[in-house]
Amino acid sequence: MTTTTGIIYTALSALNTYSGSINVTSTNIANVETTGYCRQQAVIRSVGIVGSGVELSTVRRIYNAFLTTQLRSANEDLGKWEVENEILSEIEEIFTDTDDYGLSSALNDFWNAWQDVANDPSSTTARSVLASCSGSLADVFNSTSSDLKDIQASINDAVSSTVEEINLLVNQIADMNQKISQAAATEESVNTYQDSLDTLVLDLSSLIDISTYTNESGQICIQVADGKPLVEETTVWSLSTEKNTMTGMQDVTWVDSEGNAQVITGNITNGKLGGYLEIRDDVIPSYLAELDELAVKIMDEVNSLHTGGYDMDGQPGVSFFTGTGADDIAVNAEILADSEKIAAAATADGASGDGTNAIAIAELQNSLVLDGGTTTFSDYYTALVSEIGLKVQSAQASYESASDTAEFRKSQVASVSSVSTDEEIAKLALYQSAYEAAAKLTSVLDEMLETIIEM
Amino acid sequence: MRTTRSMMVNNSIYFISKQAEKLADAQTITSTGKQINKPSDDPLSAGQLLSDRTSLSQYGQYQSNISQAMTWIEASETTLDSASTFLQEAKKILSSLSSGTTSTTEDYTEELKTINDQILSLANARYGSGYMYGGDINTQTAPFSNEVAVSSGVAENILFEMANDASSVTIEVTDTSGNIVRTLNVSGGIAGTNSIVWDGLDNNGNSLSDGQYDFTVSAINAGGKAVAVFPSYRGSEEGKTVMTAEDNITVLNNNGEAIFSDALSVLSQAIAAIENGEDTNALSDIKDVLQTSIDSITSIRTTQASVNSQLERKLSRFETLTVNLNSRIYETETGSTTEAAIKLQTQETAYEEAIAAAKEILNMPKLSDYL
Repeated sequence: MTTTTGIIYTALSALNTYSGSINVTSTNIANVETTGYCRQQAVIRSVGIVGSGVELSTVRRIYNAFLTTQLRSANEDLGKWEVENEILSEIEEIFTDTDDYGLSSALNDFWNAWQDVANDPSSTTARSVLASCSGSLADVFNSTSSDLKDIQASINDAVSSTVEEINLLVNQIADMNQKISQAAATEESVNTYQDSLDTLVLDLSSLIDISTYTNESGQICIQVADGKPLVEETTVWSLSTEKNTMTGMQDVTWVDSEGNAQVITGNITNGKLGGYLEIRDDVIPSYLAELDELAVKIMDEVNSLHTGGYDMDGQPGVSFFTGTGADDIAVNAEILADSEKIAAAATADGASGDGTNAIAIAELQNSLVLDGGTTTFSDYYTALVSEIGLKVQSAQASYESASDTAEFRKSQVASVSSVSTDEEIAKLALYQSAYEAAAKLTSVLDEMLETIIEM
Repeated sequence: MRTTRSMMVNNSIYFISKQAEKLADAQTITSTGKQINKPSDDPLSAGQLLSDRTSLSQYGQYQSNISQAMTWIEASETTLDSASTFLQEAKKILSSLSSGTTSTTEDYTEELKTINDQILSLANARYGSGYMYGGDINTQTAPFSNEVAVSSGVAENILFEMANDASSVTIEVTDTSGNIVRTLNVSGGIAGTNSIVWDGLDNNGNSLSDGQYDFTVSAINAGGKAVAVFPSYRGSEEGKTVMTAEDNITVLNNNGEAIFSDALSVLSQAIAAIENGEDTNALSDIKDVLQTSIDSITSIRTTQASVNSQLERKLSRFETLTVNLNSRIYETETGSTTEAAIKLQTQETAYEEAIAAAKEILNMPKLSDYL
């Protein structure tokens, strides 16, 4: 049987429900520009049998788990290519020869200086010029090599700091998981916590490639490097770094529950950390190796001819270059101290006037000595510069495509979850009129009660 | 697809920043005037540019080598021209002496001695930091010197040439002030190169200090007549080598022995013959030998002239190659300026459009405007 008091309760439930709904709408409007905020929706349903009213059953968070996962994976790519593009451009600077500076022009000057010595072997000027050109060549080799190693060292530092950043995020994620389980226990809304959690995981995905799953209570569990857990509900594992004795670089390790560290460097392939590791461990070492190959071959070939020649005093030539690679190639100190030690002559009798050995050394510029006897020194270096140019070009293209993809994924996620003020205003109008109707109902009931009392 | 205002604003910000990057790239190309500022701008062309610059540098060096060789030939031509003139002069003297038209031999001897000194000084001409006709040895001693060095107390052998065998040879060693420090008397001597051992001691048996000493040689034969003596060649037979192209070496003939030894020999013989009072027949024979050495110098000059014209051709080839390569480098590097300008204009327009679109989005009507 319907009682007037019962109807008042129905009207009250409507007032509560719609003011609650307006509260949801106002939260949405307030957070229209909040990063990571997912719009919320008031779910209204009628309560029980006819006459029992309405209730705001839940406040639903609108989001699509699939799109969010896709965004994370796009973000991993973006992190990786952002780093690679940036560092490769820096490397490219080292190999950008200008008209009069760079390895290529230093090599040209070097060969030309030998010919000038051949033109006038007894000229001390020509010999000093050769000694100084050779010094410049060695310097360019040294600085190119040390510039590359500097970049490698700074990447190494970045690896350590990225690992710390990851640990920090992982701890925050576990905290958020904790808050979600506590809130669930007290039936408090977890929507805000889940927004924060998603933002944290998205940040993490730009640092390292992760795989994630969400459990039934909404907590996110994370694994890295082929299934090593980082976060399991509220339990945390940490990453660490450890100096590799072979390379002198920091290896990334995963520390298990017993505190044992396992090296996972090779299993990290994406995110900023993946980009850092690839450049540090593959790209730079390969350029350094090619540079060394070039330096060593120049040393070997020039030294072998030079020691077969004779200096101005008729003594057999000393080694022209000393060193073991691009980083320590140097002109023999004896030659720098006394340019008469340059062995321009092919015979001891020729000594001061014969330039045939200098010509033989100058001819090295055209001999095919590298890549198994198919490439000249200059062509080898040119190929290296082109190779670096291509690498940078492809990194740029990958970066652009990764940032387009990430942008697209972001807008897909936003399409589902972002707040539309138009929608919210429309709902506000709707809830407002429903609230007004319920208020009207209350005032009618009030009149009805008055009628009863006055009877 | 559900689209919200914030999505549209974010998208337009993203496109504006992308468009700004493209605009900046186009501006870099226009302002530097270079299509290729970094290897990644065009890796293959960047490699090509490096190769081209290397070739350019090589061509420049070959041109410099060739110019230096041509300068040498020019200097040598002048020297040999003077040598020919002096030898013609000597031939005239010998002609008039052998025809018996003159009896005053004294003046002629002096004149021949002067000519001999001139030829010797031409043969010892300096060039650059060395000597012009020393072969590829080019040492610090003149190729036809009458000098002997003492170093660390040890003296070199004394070297000289004689036209005929001698029975007695006198060598006087003088120091830098011209004082005779040692007189060596040697019995016997052969036609050709003679090498006399000197102990480096002076006439009193004391060691001489290290340094260069001059020597003069006089020789007489069994008949008591003077034997012609002239300086021995100290240089090498190998010519001066110049790298004039890739794997291509030009040899300049600066073998002093081939050029001057005959002339020096015949002049010293003429002087000795006049001093010995030889008859006109003997002088006429010497005159004929002199003609042979004049001919040989002429033939060396002809060869030299042909080397010079080869070098000229090479030089002009490298000049052409350099011009072509420079224009290719310019084209690769700068590309078309019109194209760059049009690209810049296009990017500017696109940027303006992106901004205009953003403005539209920001000014888009909202539902709240109508409620």
